[in-house]
Amino acid sequence: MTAALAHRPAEPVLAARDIRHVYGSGATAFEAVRGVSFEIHRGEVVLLLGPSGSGKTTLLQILGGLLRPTHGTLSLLGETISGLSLERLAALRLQHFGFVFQAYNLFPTLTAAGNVEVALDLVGMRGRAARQRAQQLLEDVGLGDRGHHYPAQLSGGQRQRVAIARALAADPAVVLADEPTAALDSHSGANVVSLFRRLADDGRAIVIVTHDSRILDRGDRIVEMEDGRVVDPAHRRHP
Amino acid sequence: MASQTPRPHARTTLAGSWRMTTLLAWRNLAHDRVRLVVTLVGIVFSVVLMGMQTGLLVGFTRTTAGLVEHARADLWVVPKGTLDVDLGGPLDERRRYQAMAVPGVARVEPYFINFARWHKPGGGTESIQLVGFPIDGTLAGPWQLVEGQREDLRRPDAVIVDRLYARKLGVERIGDTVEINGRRARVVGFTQGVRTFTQSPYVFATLANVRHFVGAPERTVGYLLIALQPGADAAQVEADIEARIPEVEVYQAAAFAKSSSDYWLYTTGAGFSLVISALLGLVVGVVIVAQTLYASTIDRLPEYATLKAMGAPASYLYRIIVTQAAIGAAVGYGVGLAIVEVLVWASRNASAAPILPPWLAGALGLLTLAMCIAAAVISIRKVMSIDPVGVFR
Ligand SMILES: Nc1ncnc2c1ncn2[C@@H]1O[C@H](COP(=O)(O)OP(=O)(O)OP(=O)(O)O)[C@@H](O)[C@H]1O
Ligand SMILES: [Mg+2]
Repeated sequence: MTAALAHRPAEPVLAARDIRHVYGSGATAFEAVRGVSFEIHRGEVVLLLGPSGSGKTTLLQILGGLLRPTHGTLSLLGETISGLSLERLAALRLQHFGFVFQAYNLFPTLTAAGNVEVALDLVGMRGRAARQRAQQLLEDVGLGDRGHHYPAQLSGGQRQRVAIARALAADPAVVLADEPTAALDSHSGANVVSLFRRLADDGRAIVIVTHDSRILDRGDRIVEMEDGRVVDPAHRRHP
Repeated sequence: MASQTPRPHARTTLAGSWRMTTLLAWRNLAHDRVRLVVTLVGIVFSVVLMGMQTGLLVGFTRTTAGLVEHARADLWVVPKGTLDVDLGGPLDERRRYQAMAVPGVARVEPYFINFARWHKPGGGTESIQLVGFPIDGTLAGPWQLVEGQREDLRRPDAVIVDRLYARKLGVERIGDTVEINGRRARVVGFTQGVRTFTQSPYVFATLANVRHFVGAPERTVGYLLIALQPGADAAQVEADIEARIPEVEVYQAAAFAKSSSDYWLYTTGAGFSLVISALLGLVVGVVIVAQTLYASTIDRLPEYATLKAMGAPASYLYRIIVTQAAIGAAVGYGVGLAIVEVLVWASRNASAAPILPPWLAGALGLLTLAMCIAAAVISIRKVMSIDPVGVFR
């Protein structure tokens, strides 16, 4: 796996500046994210930690272009995207972001290969090329022999790996995952995390929201949140 | 997986293929067999109900206009106030000569339609409608003759009846004798499929015999049928006749056919109830399809949310739903139409027979598709309201 992401290495893939997010308005207004700034570079696995309700998911939604922050700017590959329309954001997600969910969110009526092919179809890859690429992506996640299996016929770890293969369909620069290992046993969880590690080594930026203490030592950096703020912005490099 | 990552602002059209949305739609349908069956039953029910009711409407329209459509007249001269060919008052035959004098008129023939009592050979009576025409004329007479000849009506007391009503009239074959208004009559032929809307069967006879049966004075006629000279201006001739003969109205044939149908279908409410039943079928179809499609959409909300989060455009999701509706429409229509065709065939000898001309079958198909797509609207609205942030919660 090699990914040639076409941007200057020094430039962060994703840069958030003073992101704030307020849910609701008036008396019920609640500020879930209160001024968060940080950058993610290619090759990095960032773990987003914090107690429940600290704003991790909200931040992840903002980083992924799913939610427009009420304040602050977000840049992708050096270009500001926080002011874009929902349609433009959707198109950007399709091309530049891969999402991995706690509950896998696979299409149960499609095979593993079919799940990957939907994502390929959305970025305009069809027919034989799509089938070959889906097979390649499944092989990359160690499921080359499971293409014809339906999600119901796969284990949790295998499903999450299909979801990762699907997230990689458009060869995205950023992969965002919310609790990707929460539903997995430790072996499958470790498997999935080493897969994320490899994706980062291929030049992607990976952000993982997690509570899973088993994977804390697998990230390059830990960003810890509390009450909508980043507690300790110090980088913690792991060998 | 080497690739060039495009710049974020590079615009590309990403819509996904119909092939994939169709596959997803089909899988969604096939995944829940019970729901699919309920959907299809709903659509089939609706198609059959709409098909039969509108088919009956077409059948009745043709039946009620039958006497007009099967006459070769360009114009009908009718007593003023006449709306329907079955219910015409008497005219004096001398009007014929006045009509003949109008420029553009090629031919004028009398036509006489009158209710009478038919005494069955085995006892009992039935109401009939005598249809009298000049045996030497060319504009009117029995149609769809399957036994006997028009010329046989020259024989004394001769009448021709329709096979559909033979049992009702207590006759079986040529030569059977009956009484009409107490006067002897003899069956000399049969038509096949000449229906009447009033349920008083048409009985064809010569004008002279009809006058004889009903005891009408010489020179009494019901209508004057007019054939125009080639190139004559029908509207002009119509106006000229109305100007010369004050107690009549003149219809062009198509207008009189329409007036006759409208009279029975809309004045009596028969057509209205058919239209209501057809609409009911439509409503039931919309409700059932909307219901099952919506249930299926609700089941799949997480998948739609996932597609949205991935960045699929809204049109991608709508296509899945509309394709589900369209597949249901196509299959339901196919099965429903086959059932309607069988029912039409089975009731071909009934006194009230639905007719399904190709244009009606086509219109029914479009209506079914429209019905299913209308039913998809609430599902589409639901999917429209999905917030993709929901996938990360
Ligand atoms: N749609 C919303 N409307 C209003 N408040 C919200 C909404 N989503 C989240 N919040 C609030 O914002 C705060 C942060 O929520 P968020 O989901 O980001 O937390 P989290 O760190 O992901 O928590 P967890 O670890 O439990 O998943 C919480 O107090 C939550 O109640
Ligand atoms: Mg969360």
